Amino acid sequence: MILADLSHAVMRQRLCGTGLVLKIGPFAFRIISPIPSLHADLAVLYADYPLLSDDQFVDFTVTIASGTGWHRWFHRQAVFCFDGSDIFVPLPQDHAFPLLEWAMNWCISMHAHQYLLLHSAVIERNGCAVIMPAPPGSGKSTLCAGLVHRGWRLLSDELALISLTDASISPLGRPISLKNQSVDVIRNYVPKAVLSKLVRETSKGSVSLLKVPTEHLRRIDEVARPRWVIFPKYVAQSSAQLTPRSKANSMLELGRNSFNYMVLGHTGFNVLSQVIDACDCYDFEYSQLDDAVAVFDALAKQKVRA
Amino acid sequence: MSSTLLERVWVAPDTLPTLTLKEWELVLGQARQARLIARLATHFLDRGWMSDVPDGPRRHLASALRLAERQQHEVRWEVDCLCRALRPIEGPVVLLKGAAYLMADFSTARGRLFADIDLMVPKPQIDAVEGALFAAGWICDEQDAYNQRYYREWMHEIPPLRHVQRNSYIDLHHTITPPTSRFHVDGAFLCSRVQPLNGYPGLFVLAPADMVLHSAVHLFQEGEFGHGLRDLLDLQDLLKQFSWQPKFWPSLLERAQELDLGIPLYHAIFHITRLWGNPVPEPLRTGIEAMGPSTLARLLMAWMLGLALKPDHPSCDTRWTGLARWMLYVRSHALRMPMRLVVPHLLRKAWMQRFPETKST
Amino acid sequence: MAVVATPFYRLRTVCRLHWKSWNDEYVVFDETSGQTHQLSSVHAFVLHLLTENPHTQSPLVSALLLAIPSADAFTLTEQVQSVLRELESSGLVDVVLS
Repeated sequence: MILADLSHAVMRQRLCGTGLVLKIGPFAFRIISPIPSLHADLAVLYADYPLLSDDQFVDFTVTIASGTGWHRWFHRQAVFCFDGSDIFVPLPQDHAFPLLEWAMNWCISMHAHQYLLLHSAVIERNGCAVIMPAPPGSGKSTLCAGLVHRGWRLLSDELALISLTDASISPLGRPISLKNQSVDVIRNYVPKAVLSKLVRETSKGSVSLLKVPTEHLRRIDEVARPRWVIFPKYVAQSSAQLTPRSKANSMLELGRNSFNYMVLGHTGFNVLSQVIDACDCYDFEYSQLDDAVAVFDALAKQKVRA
Repeated sequence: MSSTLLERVWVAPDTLPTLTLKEWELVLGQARQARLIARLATHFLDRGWMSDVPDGPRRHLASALRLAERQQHEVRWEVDCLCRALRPIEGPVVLLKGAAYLMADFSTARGRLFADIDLMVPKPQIDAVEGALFAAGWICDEQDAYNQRYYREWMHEIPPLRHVQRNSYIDLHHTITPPTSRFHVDGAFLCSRVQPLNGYPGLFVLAPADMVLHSAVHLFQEGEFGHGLRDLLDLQDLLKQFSWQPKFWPSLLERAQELDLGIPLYHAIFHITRLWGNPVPEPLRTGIEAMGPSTLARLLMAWMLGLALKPDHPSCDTRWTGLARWMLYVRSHALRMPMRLVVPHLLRKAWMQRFPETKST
Repeated sequence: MAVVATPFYRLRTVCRLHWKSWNDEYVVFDETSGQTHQLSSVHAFVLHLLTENPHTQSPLVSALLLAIPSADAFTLTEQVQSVLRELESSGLVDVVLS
């Protein structure tokens, strides 16, 4: 059973009550929130995600509550609560849906040390994955959103989940977070794109979330092997160009872009070494999505390394 | 009063808890809030029970173990770094609490989650130690003049020192309780009985009785009760660790009287007894009883502390918990500072929490 | 008669190192501090020698001269001094006066 199978009324009832339980990647999340704008976006963006019954174990219960205190008489707020504590500062209530996404990222990055967690996008073709770490503003999400609608499967937009036993990558499959101009870029590039309501004036600018293609969600339990590490950078008017990059340097940069490389210690070092062993590492500059797609297509056609 | 799911794990430590998946969710939440999740995981690991835990909860326990294991390495590294930085200092330099338990290889360090490193040095050495730590990269971030004064004049510590590269913290004390406190202890008494730490010349730990008393007075004075259950478990561990020493218990009672810390010791033993049975040898129990406060104070404290020592998790709250915590918070400040200082201080703390960007004038 | 103390260099006793290399690139992880370092081949060579035994500066220079016969001894000596300073400030190496 998926979320779309529930009526809006029942979905709202659960969200306002004991919680709505969804399977998101390998995790079970319970979501509780009385905020109507969150209900609306959730119903659209998470329509195809499996519903779990209440007797299954839930990894994280995320509550996006209305703010309390004197503020609520002046401007309504959204607050992320976990284990009874407020985790972030309160945000305006129309930020509730992006806040839910950030809250889920926080839960995973703070607690899921059964994986090496990289702050990067991951896409896959023919069982081979591209890991794309990038600081904010590098155009990673735009690139990811474009590629995912031109033959690549989305594993994750923000969080790579790398197995500690064999360095395989598990899909998380959450909506892709687009900011500022990239929302319009993707609207043009993917005419049928389904996007959440644009939220302005967040700490990251204007934010909208892009729905994951349904066929990708059907393959949510299919892992991929790391094959390329590509550091993307949007450079206006540049041609799409891959430049080989030092493995040692790439390893350190991936470590810096990890949520828990330091926590995992020796195990983290071993797993990251395995990833770098298996991957060709590149810097990538681009400005036009079509050019980027062509470069990635050529990459995918390379013979598998011996 | 009913014990929480988490408390019950340690009430019958050799019985495998049978929990539903819902109860597992609750216990994990309580354990996270109480900073006991790694200890809970260690509890199961040590008894060979991990394979009896359902997959979902087991992943969370395993995650917590990884975090704890990493932190142990980090504490050892920090201690090595500060040992080198403080070599020229005429000490003793005394490790307190978690760092002491780890470096002295106490069982209570297993499954522990660490925060800052607590150090104690003789009061005349504070400036020299602060200078040596500064030279090694630990700086004082505290810019606010009021807060500086709060720490240096009224408290028994200087503002926390942060390492510029590693972002690790050292809390530097000259005794174990504030000079303005009802339970003030002169650091020199403690320094006279410290014991050297093997392999770390210049580093020491408190004597066993002093370690126990520090833990007891810290628990009941510090005011932040979210970690109360963990501190009680630490205390229980320390008592077990030292009980085998032939003169330990009489020396503990004697030292409690000498340092006038009988009341915190009484409260600590009361709550350990309530949860896990009386650890005090029979012949000495009346001695502990005699150290307690008036009957009314006992009843009130027992109620307040019993509620406030539960994990800070919604599943553990009763309608009285908030009130109990607030009363204890105010009481702990009253114990640490005279009343004429408490109210302005609490007002200022509330103000700063609300408006942290406001510069002090 | 004054005795001049000779500095010995050694791996910091609390460190536990793990290595990874690709061609001429080296990465070393210290389990205790949790730090990962990228090293040049010269840094890696010197650190590896110090992991096996403490040394003064001159055997390190000699070992490097054997590995790089074409190198100039004076330049190499300066390089080793610089490498040792960097390894010390990275927290990997200790100096002990004998």
